[in-house]
Amino acid sequence: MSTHPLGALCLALSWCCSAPLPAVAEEAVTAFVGARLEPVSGEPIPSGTVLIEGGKITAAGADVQVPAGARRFDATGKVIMPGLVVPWTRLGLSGVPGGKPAANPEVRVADELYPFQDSYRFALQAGCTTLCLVPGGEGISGQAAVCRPRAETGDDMLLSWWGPLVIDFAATTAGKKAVRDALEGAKKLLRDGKAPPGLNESDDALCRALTGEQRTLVRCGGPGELLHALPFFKDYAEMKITYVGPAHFYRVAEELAKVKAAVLVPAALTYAPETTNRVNAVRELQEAGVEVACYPEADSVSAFRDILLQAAHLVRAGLPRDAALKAVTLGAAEALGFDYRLGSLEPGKDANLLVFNGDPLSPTTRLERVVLEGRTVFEERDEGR
Amino acid sequence: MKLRRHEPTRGGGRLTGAGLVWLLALCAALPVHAKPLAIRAGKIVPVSAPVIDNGTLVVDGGKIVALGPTATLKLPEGCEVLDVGRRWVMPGMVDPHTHLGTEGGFNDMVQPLNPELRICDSLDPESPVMREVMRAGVTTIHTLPGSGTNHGGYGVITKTHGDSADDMIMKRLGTMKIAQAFNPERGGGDLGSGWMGMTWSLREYLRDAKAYNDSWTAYEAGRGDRPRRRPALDNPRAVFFGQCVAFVHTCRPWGVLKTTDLFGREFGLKTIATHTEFGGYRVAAAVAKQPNVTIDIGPRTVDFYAGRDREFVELTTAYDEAGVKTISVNTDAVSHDRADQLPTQGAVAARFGLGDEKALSAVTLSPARALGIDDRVGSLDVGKDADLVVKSGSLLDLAAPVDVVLVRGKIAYQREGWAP
Amino acid sequence: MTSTRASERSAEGKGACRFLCRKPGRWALLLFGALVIHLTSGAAEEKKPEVLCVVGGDLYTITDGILKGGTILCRDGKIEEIGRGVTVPKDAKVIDAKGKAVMPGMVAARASVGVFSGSDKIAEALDPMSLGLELAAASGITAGYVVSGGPSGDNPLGGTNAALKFTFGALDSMVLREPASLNVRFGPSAPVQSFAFREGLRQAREYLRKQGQYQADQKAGKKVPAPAKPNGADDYIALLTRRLPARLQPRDQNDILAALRLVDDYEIRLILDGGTEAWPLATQIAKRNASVILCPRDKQVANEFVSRPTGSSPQTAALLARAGIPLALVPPSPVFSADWIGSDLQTLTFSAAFAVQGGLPEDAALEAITLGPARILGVADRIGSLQVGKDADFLVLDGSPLDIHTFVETTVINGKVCYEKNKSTFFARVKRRQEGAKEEAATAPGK
Repeated sequence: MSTHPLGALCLALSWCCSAPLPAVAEEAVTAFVGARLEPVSGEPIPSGTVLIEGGKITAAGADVQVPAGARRFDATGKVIMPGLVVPWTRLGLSGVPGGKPAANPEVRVADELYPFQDSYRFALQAGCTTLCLVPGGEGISGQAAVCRPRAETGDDMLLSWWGPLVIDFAATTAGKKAVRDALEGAKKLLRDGKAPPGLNESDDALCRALTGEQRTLVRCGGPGELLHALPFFKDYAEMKITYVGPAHFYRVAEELAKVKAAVLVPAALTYAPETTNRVNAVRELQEAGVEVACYPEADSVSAFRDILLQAAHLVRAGLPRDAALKAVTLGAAEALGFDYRLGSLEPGKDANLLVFNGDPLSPTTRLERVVLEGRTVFEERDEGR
Repeated sequence: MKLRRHEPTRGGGRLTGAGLVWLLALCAALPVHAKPLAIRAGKIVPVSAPVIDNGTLVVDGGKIVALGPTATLKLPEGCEVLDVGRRWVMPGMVDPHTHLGTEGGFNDMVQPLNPELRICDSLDPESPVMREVMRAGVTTIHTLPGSGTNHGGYGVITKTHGDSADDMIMKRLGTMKIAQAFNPERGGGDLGSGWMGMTWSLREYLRDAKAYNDSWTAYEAGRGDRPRRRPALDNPRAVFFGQCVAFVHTCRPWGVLKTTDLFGREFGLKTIATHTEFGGYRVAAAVAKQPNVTIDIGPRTVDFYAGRDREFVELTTAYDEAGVKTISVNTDAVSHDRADQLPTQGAVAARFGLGDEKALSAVTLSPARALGIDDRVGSLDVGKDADLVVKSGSLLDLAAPVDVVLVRGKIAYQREGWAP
Repeated sequence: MTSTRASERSAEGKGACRFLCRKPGRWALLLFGALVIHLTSGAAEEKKPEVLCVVGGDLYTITDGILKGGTILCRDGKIEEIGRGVTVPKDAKVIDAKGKAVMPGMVAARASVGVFSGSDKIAEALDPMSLGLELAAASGITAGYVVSGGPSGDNPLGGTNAALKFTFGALDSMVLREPASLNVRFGPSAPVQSFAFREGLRQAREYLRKQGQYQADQKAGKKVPAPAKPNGADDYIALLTRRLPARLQPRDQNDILAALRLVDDYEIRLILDGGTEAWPLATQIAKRNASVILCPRDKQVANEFVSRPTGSSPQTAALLARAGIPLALVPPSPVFSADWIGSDLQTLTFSAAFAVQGGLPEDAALEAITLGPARILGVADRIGSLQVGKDADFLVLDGSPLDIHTFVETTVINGKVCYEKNKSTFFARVKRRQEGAKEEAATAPGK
């Protein structure tokens, strides 16, 4: 393997195509044996095994053979689920630019990343193994960064160079114009055959979004603005859009379902307007046929710690359990276009696991272990803390 | 009674020939304290008694001396008769909460409690706004200090028309103006900025004032030594005697409950809880149990967000349904903008379910009772002041203009171009 | 496909049988054709227009008096028929309005409802989910005049405005007309803007004259350069050609007088938004065909330094209407607010009552909150009265229209029921108090 030119080429290519954790000496295969598995992509498995190799899940199921020489963890009585995916946050980032709406597709959150923040450490400890950090600013805000919360450098946080395009959409003339002019400009480039590669970064990001190669996250302040956004983006039918906003999106669930939209709303119960009547917005949207996933209620460590608690509230208020778990894992990954590697216990996906001592949705359960890309990054050592 | 006009309103801006002649004749015929005046009307609405269709009301010496059906009422000797056709005669309205007619501001925030201050000392009876209020049919108003402090001073009860201040002022120490909270916080500092501190302040003050009154009352009755004279506590004696009402600006469930409890129950004072919006109606049942506490609502007469269920809750109706007996509405007018809006406030109450009868009472007899001036105003009863409004419809009929206003038996206003 | 269906249709009786029995493949064709017919007729059924009938009400048409016991038939959002003997189609949705008053949806000529702030164009900033729209339907206000921004700095023109339908929940069909007028700042209270405005009009008029000359020259075959259009002339041209009126908010009578002089010079259409002090100038305003938006409850103290009459008067509405001036009545506040109950946008009918108090006839007052504002906004072809061909925007009331006790029971916009009092929480607690039988007898007829 080491001297064969093809092998070397393969190695080089594989190194270029991914941005893995820095190499650390570890056992080849890790196995978590005998746990209840919540794969999210399928039915729960009462007693199963997860195999991890090279930072990826290689197997997850009931009849999995543990190879000889594997590092074995007895997970009897535990519950293993995929790591939480936070699809929309500004945790650890600086302030949002103000001023007039503008088109800044070349702005990258990746350029701002600083990995050594307590908030990222706490987020990871709370089970958030992926964070999508988003830019701010009205108009086309820039490119988000889908990150692992632990790395040696900012760039190493990135799961991939490109992240979703973020648009902060407002129902104003200036706001709409800024977005439309930029998208029309990119549309023209594509039409004239001047598509990437070979363009500047700004056009590149827009073109990738326009063709659907990259997902776009469109943030709207409320259901009123959303009713403006839906017809607006009809003109750009190839874009793969997830609408991000407050829970009150549920008030236009029908319109969203009509265009088969995907949305992100906070993982919490809300109130029907001007009343004290609780509404399960996630359930309302889901029942209307809208693809819905969740982001934390606030950009604070306590909100991140409460993600599963909030999911439990949603279940208690009528959301099916599997939908609740999906909303904070695979659903969130799909919203970002990263479900090819995140969000479920399936072979080939990143080995991001959470090991609980019970039902993840129970308030008395403890998160005992967080595995990030095959490595244990958090382990609860003290019993009865 | 329905709010109806029986006659189309005459066009304004024109004084008909007949009207002019009649007007001059009337002015000539009615000098001060002249002959008795009998007003013959389509309806007499006493408020305290059932409506009299085709009735007559007799005024003499500034008082109502008789009223009854025109067919049977015996008129006194030498009576002038004013026939107003199908129009209605009603009591002049009473606005129990205004800040009108004063000069130099109504919020002297010297200390957290200012018992020495009396707004009557800054009252300008010549103020043009008085005429505006009177022309709207409001013949008595309660003007009071603001709510910048927990105790802004004493409010004055005055007519809106008269020859002089003495002529107009009914009660110099009309009410003890208190703000339970919800404004004094702004000026606060020390005990002024939290509800705990403000409540304590008020309770201590009332205890002190009560003790002072008790000791002086005893002394004046021949018991005990002469107490120390503390002029600042002379004013509240009227409150403990029941001659002056505690008028408490309050709102929200906590505030209304606290006012009822502290002033009504603990110190047994005749109390008016004023404003009482922002959810105060939720404790209406507790207020109903305390008969010496009455409710005065305004300027907001409807809650929306306080209900927290997307309902418009009209406050007079809410208190009424809980059993509160005396409910009035006010304008809380500070300037001419709102000065004449008392009929509108009453109309909102009638509209939202209080009904015409109780809404009419809410702008006449109820505020009079609450302020302790119902011996003189608020309804058409023999012996009361002849403060009257003549119009072709109810006081709360916004489509009918006020035609004539009498204050203490004298014509204070006649609408230009009206004729009987 | 067409030919197949045509041949199937032409086949009758024996001919059909022989046609089919000869070739079995034709059975398949027949079945296929039947399937096609079934599917397309099914599709046609879905597109059938929605029919709504309001039956047996006292119809306040505004234009043709009150029709007692009348029926309105609406199809596809428009009024198709009005009358006493209207046949109600079997599949129509029926509202029983027996003994109830039915009037056109009210039009608030001053409203801050349903729009996000800070945009150049109201159509791009509509907020279809706003609470104000729900309250508008509950209050019977089905359309209104929304102003966004206004002239700023030294500019005599600026901002935008629109006549909107207050429909909740959807963007489309909210905008009736944008702009409905041009916001103008003009008068002695704004000397810089006044100068700029007159200049703008003068230059635009000069340009139009040159343009006319140029076109004549062109026709005559002369080679002349086209005249240059001055910057920003489009708005002034719209005013000069009377395509749009100027909407002015006069600070006082002086502003009104200056505006009237302007109309004399340039013959523009004029809306005086704020007619509190207009009453002594009624004849002059009428002469210039200007319209007035008025809150009859607004107060203005008379100017004691001026000899002519000034200040507010309760008779303003009556005097303006008597002079033949198109009039729209509005409440003191353009928003819905519990803070302003008694003065907020819900009290449009209160303003009408106050105008009646000042001498305006009742039917004129009712018109001033329906057809009057619709005309002023230039949308009277669609709303403002119960007439065949107009939009099916109307209210079923639980009392007579200007009675302040009256609440809206049902609101219909574009032929669809969008509010029902007994199904909404807003006024769920409101019940008319039962007065004594005596009062029923005292009801004055014909109100």
